[in-house]
Amino acid sequence: MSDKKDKAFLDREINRRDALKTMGAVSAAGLVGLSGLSIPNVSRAEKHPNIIFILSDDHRWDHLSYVGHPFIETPNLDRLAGEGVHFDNAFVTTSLCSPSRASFLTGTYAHTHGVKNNITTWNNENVTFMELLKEAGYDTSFIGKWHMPGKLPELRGVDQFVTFTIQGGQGRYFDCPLIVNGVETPSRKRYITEELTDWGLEFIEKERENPFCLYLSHKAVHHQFLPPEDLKDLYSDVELDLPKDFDPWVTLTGGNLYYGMLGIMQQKYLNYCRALVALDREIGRILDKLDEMGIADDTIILYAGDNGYFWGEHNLVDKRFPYEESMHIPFIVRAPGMIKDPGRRAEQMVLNVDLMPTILAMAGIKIPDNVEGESFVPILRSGRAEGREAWLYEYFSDYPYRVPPNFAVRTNTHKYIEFEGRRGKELYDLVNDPKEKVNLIGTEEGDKLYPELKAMLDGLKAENGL
Amino acid sequence: MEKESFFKRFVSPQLTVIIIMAVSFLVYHYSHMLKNHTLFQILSAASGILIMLALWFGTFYIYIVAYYRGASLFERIVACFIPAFLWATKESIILAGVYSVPEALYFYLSVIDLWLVSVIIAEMGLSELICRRGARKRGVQPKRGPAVAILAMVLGIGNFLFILLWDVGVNHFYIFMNGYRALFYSGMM
Repeated sequence: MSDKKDKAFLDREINRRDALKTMGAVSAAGLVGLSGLSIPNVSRAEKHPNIIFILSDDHRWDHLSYVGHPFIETPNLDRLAGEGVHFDNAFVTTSLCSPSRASFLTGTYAHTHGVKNNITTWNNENVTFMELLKEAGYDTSFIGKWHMPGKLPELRGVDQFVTFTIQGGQGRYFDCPLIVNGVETPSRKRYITEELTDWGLEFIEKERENPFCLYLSHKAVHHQFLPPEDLKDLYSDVELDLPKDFDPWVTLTGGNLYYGMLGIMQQKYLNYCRALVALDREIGRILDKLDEMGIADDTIILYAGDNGYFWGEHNLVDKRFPYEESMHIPFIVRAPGMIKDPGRRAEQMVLNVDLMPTILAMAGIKIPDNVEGESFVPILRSGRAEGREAWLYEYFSDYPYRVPPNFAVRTNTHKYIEFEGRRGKELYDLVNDPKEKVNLIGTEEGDKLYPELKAMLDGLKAENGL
Repeated sequence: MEKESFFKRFVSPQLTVIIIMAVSFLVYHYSHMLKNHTLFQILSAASGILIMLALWFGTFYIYIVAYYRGASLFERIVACFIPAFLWATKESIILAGVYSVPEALYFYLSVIDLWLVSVIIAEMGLSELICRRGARKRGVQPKRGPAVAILAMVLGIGNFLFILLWDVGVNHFYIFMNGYRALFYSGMM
């Protein structure tokens, strides 16, 4: 799937740009020399901007006021989207915490980086974008949820590693003990989202010569979906817009208790929304800090969710299944100077594996050949840039959850899924049936679509050695 | 109590609960295929209630009926565990559709099964105390003292609450998963 066109395009762009700059600078210097004026240096930010990547947990793409959620208010994420680009069609290649997070870090699929589920361990031979940024002279910090199976690694290229291992690496919303550069450290604030933001702010505030990269990985809004004290009654009077698909017992049946769903769905959902508002508030602190320090224009911010979440659609909770609610994520980029039309909603499909090549391209660093994602810098620069036509989704079994392994191909208009075992095949027309309620397999329409989609999926799998 | 036939004292009480569980499970499962949303909600809600009652409180019915039909202590205990065992087996069979048989068998040690066992033990203890009181009213003196019944209640309720209060079973889940990794993913820790 990897298309080298975008990389070559960008390389040409940088070389032309650099050449023009050099010629311009020389000419200007000549003129200035004659006139006696001083000229500004070429901004360090243009070559090596600061980069902040904020990753949330289980944040559904449609739970932002920016995209029209009926009651949730996310002013800070809305601000990011309004000042940047919001990707309306951003997805994860595996809808599960650990594999998706590893894909964000390495730009590769789960079958490549090896973290296929929440059990297979992280291979520290994997090269992350943090390591490459460090080699290029960045100060780097990883703060928050690591949640890769196995022991905490000695992450190469990370100056500061603040994380937690309690409860299998999920952490706790309140009083979560941390591990700071390998040392157990009690948290200073009760609520984890605030605590992690504090660490992030301290890193940003440090006096430095180098550009920085902050990877801020929140526990929110994963179960147990706990909000801070001051938001515990938020939205209590709101009419919830939950789907009609689910029965009253869905949180207690079908193994859903193992998703931390003991309780009533509506109450869990309210807390999810409240925890999301708290997260948005903390993002506001980051934005305010950048403004206060006067470095907002030198800093690129990327925000994404590690996967989506079902709240009763298809009578499901959690994620894993290859339906839109689960694989579709929020993805917002604010890149001052790069985006000529801030506030644009980009339709092109982007993936979690695209983060690494994009960040490297933004920082002017060569993208390794093994990276399977594509830089979406061209899309940031122009709404007319081409996007991908189709991509591969994969899910491997993750004990003890009863989701069978599956592969899917998703195009701009359709999705074809193959489950292992009895569940079989499913095919959806995403334009006319965006909620994926009508499986077209076995229908006349499905019979027409099936051969091409099947061939596409087989081709993608073969390309990836699957 | 007068000892009735094996079928009446041992099989019948648990069979009643098993049938309720099985029928309500099938109704719950297949109600999702109904196009009529109102009917789906009613059937799923009702069948869900029956499943929960049968699974989590069926012990009271089984134990008390078996007691008054003359079942021995051993028979009463076994009868109480069989429906839950069948339910846990159903869950493991479902898992065997995705995982290996050993992994599916390991699921018997899951958090929910531990909770269920705790609840059954507690309910057996309470049922014994209820039955003994009833027997004394009929002029029948129980053979043993109440100590074992009380101990069963304390242990059962205690373990249930411990699992619940220790982060609502989350920590137990991670212990369960550590065991799974040790057995099935050793060398990959």
